[in-house]
Amino acid sequence: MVSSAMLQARFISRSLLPAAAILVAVTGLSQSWRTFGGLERGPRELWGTERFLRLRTASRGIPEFGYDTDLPATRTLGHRIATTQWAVAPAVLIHDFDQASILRRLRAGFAIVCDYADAKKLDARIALFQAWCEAEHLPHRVVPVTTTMAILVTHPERDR
Amino acid sequence: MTAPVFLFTVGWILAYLIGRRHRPCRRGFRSAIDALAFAPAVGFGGGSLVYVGAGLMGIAPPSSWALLALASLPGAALFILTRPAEHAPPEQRSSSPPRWLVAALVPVLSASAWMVGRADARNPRGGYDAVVIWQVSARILDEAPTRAGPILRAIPASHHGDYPGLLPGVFAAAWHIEGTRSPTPQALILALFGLGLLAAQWRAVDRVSGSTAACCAVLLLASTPELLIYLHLQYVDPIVAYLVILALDGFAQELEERPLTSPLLTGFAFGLLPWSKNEGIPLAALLLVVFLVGVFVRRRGVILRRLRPIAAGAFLPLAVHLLFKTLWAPPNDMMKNLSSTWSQLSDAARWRRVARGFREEWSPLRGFQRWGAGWVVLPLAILGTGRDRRRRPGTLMAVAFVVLTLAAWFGVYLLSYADLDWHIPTSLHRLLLQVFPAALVAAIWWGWPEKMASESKEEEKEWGPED
Repeated sequence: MVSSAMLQARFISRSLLPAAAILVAVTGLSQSWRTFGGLERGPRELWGTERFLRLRTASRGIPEFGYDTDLPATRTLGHRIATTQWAVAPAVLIHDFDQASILRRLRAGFAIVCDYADAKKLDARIALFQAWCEAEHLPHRVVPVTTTMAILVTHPERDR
Repeated sequence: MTAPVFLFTVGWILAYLIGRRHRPCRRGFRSAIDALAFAPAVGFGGGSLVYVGAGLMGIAPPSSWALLALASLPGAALFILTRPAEHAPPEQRSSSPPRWLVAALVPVLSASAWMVGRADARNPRGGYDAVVIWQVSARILDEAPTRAGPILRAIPASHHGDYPGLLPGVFAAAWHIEGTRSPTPQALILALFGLGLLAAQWRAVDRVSGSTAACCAVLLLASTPELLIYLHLQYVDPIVAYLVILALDGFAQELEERPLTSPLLTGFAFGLLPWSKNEGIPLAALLLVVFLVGVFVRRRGVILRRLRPIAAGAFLPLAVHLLFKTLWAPPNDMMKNLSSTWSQLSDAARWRRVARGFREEWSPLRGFQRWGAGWVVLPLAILGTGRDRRRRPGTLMAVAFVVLTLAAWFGVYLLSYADLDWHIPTSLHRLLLQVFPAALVAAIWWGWPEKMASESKEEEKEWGPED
């Protein structure tokens, strides 16, 4: 004879729990689908914002960039990019353009996104960058993104 | 693409041979799954140890095929040292899972593989840490395999030259064998580690709770968003989770004196834990502590003799890790700042902030985004719990390990020198990922122990085979 306790155990172990596992798996897969979609679109807070889309387009082909800004952390694209695991262009928050370590990186080939509150500051930075690169005989280019944002790119020595 | 496949296949064959020598009676599907579970550890772990170990000794890596042969040496040594298990219980035939459940595995695994593969094809370079940390170290190991130390110490702190060499070592070995730095081997290595994780999860759950529970565990794990995302982004955290499962299950078997796995393989996985990431050191230490406490509580000193083959298996990875840390790696930021952060332990606001971080991670909204409905498993585990059921020592050990690990991660944030508003959101979910599969195993062992499976077997005698 099969007792009711056995029937209950059989029902739980061979029907209820497996069915629940399938339900959990299906919800997990649908959430994974959304998360993978989010990876391609970038951080959720930035979807569709013009500055973000422009930066994403401009940074294509740049494997990694520093991010120099005077904006508060909550308003900057770089902060969001660096603190999420968004895969398109990893950012290193540098906060201070003139650090010796950043200049060393620029000599070896690097890119820096300058994102400031004031367009005049950006112009001054670009002039400073170009003068420095010319003094160092360093191949470089400036990729404008918006009036207050640009990507300053140096090319590695082997490309000269 | 050939290098990861070769390393993995060599690992699978060696793990199979070791399993056959240790437990000749275990055959068929289960022995193949056993070997699959250990294949990435033996193949890729062996490859990285040989590549970095040779570099540490000033030996440049040989040509492609010679390096492949050398990469199989650690696994071959484990095979030579393996002895047949003593007092191993005979293999029992357990009930098979319902066919509809097995059929559900196919679409779930296919959908997961498709999502990861599609994302890999669009972005084969991986995520932030993969590009900035692991691939930078791999490039250094590939370009200067015998002089990597000074370069690792000179790179900026953001590249974490102190992180250990499992992933960079196997990337560099694969690039060296293939003669090109294509991103395809990286994505493939992570995918094969993911396959190993699923196999390790299956065999750990199957051993205690039967194959129906094992199918459920694989379904849950293979659909977890956090795992799929980080396999695609080429982070090391899923690999840490994989090694934790192998070592935890192996120690549980030793504690229960039911040695299904060769203790040499258990030791090798245990030794690879610190070699995978810095967090592997506390994970390995906690595992050893709960195991020794378990031995003490059981008053079975004879189990301690099993530590000798485990130590033999762990010797090579621990030795290479020690050499790497003393000869090449720069000091770790957290350890460097530890003397000034002890006082943070008495800061009540910090305790509240860390607690809030943990709470948010498991809140229905954020938790659902990262873990799917995985957190529903705990109530399900309790649902399957009977009051009169005696817990196996290995189950208690696994639960203690998970709880202690969560407490340790809490402590890490209390002592962290970094800004918590940055540190917690960027790392806590990955620390939880390292222990999530182990928590899943512990929950299923706890709530769905073998009694239920044996009941099903009794029923089969009366009812005939299921389905």
